[in-house]
Amino acid sequence: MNQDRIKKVTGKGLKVFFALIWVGISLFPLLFSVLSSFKNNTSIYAAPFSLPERFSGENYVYALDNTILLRGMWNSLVYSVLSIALIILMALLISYAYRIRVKGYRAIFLFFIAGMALPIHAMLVPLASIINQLNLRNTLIGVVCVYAATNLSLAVFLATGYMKGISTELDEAAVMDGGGHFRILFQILLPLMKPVISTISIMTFLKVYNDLIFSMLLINDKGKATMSVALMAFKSEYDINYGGTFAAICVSVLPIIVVYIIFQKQIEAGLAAGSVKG
Amino acid sequence: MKKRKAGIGIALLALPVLVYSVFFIYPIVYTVYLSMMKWNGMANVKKVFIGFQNYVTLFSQSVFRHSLGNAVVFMVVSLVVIFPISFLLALLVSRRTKINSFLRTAYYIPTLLPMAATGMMWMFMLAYNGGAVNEILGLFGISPHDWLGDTKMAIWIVALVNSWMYIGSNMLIFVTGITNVPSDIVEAAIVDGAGPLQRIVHITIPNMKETFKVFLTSAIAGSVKVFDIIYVMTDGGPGTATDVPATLMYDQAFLSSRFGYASSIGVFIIFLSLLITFTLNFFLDEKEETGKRKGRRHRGRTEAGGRV
Repeated sequence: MNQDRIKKVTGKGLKVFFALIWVGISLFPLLFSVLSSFKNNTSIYAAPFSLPERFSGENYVYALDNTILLRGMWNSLVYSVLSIALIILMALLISYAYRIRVKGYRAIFLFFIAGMALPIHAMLVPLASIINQLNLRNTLIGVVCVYAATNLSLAVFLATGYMKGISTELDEAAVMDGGGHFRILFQILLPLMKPVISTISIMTFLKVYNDLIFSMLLINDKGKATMSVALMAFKSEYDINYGGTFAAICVSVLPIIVVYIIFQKQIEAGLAAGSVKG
Repeated sequence: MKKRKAGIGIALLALPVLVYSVFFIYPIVYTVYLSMMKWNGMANVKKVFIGFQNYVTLFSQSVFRHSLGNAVVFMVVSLVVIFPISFLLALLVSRRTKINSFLRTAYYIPTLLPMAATGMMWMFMLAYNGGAVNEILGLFGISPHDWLGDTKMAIWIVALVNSWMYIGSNMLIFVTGITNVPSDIVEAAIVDGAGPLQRIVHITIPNMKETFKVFLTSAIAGSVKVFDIIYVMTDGGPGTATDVPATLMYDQAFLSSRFGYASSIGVFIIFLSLLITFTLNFFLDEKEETGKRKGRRHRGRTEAGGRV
């Protein structure tokens, strides 16, 4: 009896220990960045873990003074919002076509979800020249279309699945009332699909807001670059101001943390749903 | 009636087909075409057809073979680091309690951060001079090391940073798998007097095959596609020690202007990741899968509402 209890307590102790250690490992780099963002180069080198002598916002002034970072964050936000809008529109159209079983709807569905298995990196080389040929380099429409196309598949997968669960009696009733297809889709089905739409929005936001590669490839106008590219500029400065760079990292990460805290449920749901079919 | 359906089909699908084809599918197909050309990427320069010459060159290059080896390092680290840690964490936090919800949040944060930010944070923390990692190891009497400057070690270090990012998301996938294990089986096991460890080994793990399959496929196919973390942290360096196929491809195209050759690397990445996905799905889909399919046919009527 007593031995059982000892076993149980040590088991529990081990669990708590492991759980807490991993909280530490997960959060340490962020906490370290916040800490360092209040220090200057010398004190980062001399005493990396000590608290800053005084909390001065100097580094944040450095990070924000050069407007490239805020500019990049704003650009990333704009690209995200527009890509989300386009993706949701397209995913709704596709899943409705699937719902009313247009000719070849199964093949069409497979065509659109195939992107989940195709690696985006494999198309970077021709994409750059296609964008040039279409005169879409440095344009909003070019970037947004690329983000929308490359993130469409998961959205279609989720939206089609969700729409399947909505009874078709609703559509039939609407047809009786003389409603056309677009009215059924946008006035009847769309409001019912809010949960999956929010999941898709969040997943797309995380992808697009954090994007590095497409921005490097499609944009060479610094004023139009995304947050990630703007952040990388701090790294390549000849004489790195560590404190300032850490401040820039903290600023760039903040919106993501806020979004996560607000939309935790949708993010976890989206991830779980996406993992059903890798 | 039929004609109207065709009309509405076009109206619904025109925009998605256009955007998705022009900006995703066409470039993929075009990569295959380009991979058989010699071309420097200039629009006014003619592409010269050279057949499979790019592929022959590709496989004769030790840099490329080395980059494949580096992709294998990512696979190994996924299997021996990401898999056990994220599964253990999932077991710890799978029950829905307030504390577990906090823990999940903490574990998941690394996955959300922009790769550029993560890469830079770790780069500074791994620095030889004054980097946090060397300082901490110093407390245990371990002398400092230039982690990312060491040609042998650097790729392992980057792969570990990569696993730091992805343990959170895989934990959530495993949590979903664990909560999907039918509760009546678990309860029956408890009634039969199975302890927690026995339940994990005999009930949870065998019932999570589908989840493990998803993990294996995405981890192994994902290792072939690694790009961002390498680009941010080492850019393939020191030398070409940490180059992976995708960074080689990027450099060949956009730094060396060898678009045809770079495309052959791109094609190889597509080929390899599809091959891995299909092979794993083929071998991991056992009899139970065919059983499921049969079952689906039988209960055809109930299926409509069955999927959540």
